[in-house]
Amino acid sequence: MDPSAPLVSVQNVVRSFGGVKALDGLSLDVFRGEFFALLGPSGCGKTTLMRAIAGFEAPDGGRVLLDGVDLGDTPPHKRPVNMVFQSYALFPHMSVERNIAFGLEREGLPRAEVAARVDEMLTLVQLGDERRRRPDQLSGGQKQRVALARALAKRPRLLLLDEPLAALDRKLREETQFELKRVQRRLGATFMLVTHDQDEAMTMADRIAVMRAGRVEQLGAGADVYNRPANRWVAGFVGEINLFEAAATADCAAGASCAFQLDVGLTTTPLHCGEAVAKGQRVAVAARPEHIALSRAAPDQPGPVGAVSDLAFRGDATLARIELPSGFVVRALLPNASVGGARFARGDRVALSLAAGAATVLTS
Amino acid sequence: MTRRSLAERLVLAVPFAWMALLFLAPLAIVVKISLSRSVIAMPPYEPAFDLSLGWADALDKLGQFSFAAYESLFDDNLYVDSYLSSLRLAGVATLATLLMAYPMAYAMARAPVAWRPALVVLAVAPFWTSFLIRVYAWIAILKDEGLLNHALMALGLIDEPLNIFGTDWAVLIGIVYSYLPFMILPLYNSIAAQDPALREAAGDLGAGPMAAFWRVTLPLSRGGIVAGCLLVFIPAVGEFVIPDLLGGSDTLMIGRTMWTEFFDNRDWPTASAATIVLLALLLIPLALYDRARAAGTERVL
Repeated sequence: MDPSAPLVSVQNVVRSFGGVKALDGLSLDVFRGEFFALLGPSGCGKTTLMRAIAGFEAPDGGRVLLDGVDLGDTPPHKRPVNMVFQSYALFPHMSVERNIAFGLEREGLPRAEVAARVDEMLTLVQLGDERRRRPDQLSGGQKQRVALARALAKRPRLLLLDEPLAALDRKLREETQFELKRVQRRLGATFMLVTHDQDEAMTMADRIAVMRAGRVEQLGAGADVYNRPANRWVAGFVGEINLFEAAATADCAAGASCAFQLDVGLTTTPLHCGEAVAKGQRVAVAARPEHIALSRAAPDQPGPVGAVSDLAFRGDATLARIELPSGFVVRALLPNASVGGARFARGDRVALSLAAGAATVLTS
Repeated sequence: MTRRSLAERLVLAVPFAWMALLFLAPLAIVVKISLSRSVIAMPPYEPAFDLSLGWADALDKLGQFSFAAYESLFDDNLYVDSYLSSLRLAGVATLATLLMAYPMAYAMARAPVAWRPALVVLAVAPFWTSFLIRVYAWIAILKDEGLLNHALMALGLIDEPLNIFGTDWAVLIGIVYSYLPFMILPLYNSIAAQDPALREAAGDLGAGPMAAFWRVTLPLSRGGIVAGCLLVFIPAVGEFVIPDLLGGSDTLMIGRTMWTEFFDNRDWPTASAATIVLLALLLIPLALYDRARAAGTERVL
């Protein structure tokens, strides 16, 4: 088998619920050994897609291939795919080790083999001491690890994780994120994560599919999605961003750079254009708060000047909201380390500038 | 433990007073009668306490208590046979009810959420009609010239009427029919309460629909099975109306035997002793259930 061929190939999958298209002709490929994330707001179809791969939803149209084989109507219990459920779905009447052994016993493996794999999994998720406990005697984090061990014990070709960290508190969530990464790297397994949390997707995934209304809006590495959002919607969904309405100052070919005149009264340095734009064409220029610089405004300051309306301390940085005379609000993230205390106070009049080349031109 | 206010204590006292007045006091009277001797008098037993005769007389009469009525239960085989026959009929009926109710409860619990309240109402709909009338209706269905035999003969399935009415079969059918809702409801609750993701997880881990049922759904409905069986078995053991109306003269059930003892033979002490023994017998499954539940919280399957 060609190792570069996709492990999972989702092709034009359609699934409707009472006229609402949860999946609208969606296609994507997941490769072997990859940590892949489906990221999107609730109702974007990410869970439906995952359930279609697991076999809990039958697509109305399109195909799901695993290693080149159409899964078609294969029922869930015959798919070499396992899932970590959002609620964990641990069997409450079974101990930790019986939960982990459940799937192995269904395969009819010899007892010794089952016992060996259960031990291996308990070591992997560090739950050896809890093996005889029942799920209701475990903490949230421990339950999550049992669910992971139970699914991984089957050595699935693809592991699906449905919002696996949603039920954990913040601190545990971060620990578990790294834990999941560690397990995935160690096993060289293919993980597909469903989440609405962009930080979670960025932290864990090699590639992210940003979904909206049953379609993929953008597919790429976390840094790409963050730094080079494909359109206004992705820019707005992934992280905080300022969207400036702007016009091109010159004709610009695809892949070339040119300056843009922002409506707020600022001309940018030359920005990379993914698509060709004509002089005067209306676009959006997206700039992350950390790429907005502030300086104290002189009385005759050219360019956009606004008043600091709010300051939010965030530990390593302070988020400032600057209201322009037009009412447009710009968010700027000011690193605290270099400042040594608040440089600006509410009501201060400040001038805005953009870090050179750091903004993204969005034509859609 | 926080101190309870007077009002709280009063509220808590109401159910205790209720139990004391309407359960413990009558029970004490039955116990007392069971320890008395049968006489031809009014009341038909002695000693009969008369508080106007003072404490000395009451103490003297306490000394007259005897276990003669309990001993008389073993004088002939009637009582032992009645108990055994009741336990057997009630046990078979409970099992039959469970086997009938489980698929119904399962279908209800898996029905669309919007339908479920209507299905629950349908399950208890028989209660809208009087219990007695429903049992009488079964006479019309089961008797030799009844609806069932007419239907079966019209269909050509049988040539001669089946003799069901007046046999233990009729009693079984009557008990299963009458107690079915008491089995369905706890089963339905225990199945509907299961997280649907558990069944999906079983499937995801390689269990086909049958394996998922035996390994996950059925063990998780154990509480409903036990509750339903107790709700059917306990009243069925002491059932009087169904064997009296549907059973034959040879249908032996303890409820009927006690009725005969009390009203026909006017032997109140023996009837009371039979009642107390029945109560003790029925405490056994309850105690087992309690122990199983207590152990269940500790034990890991």
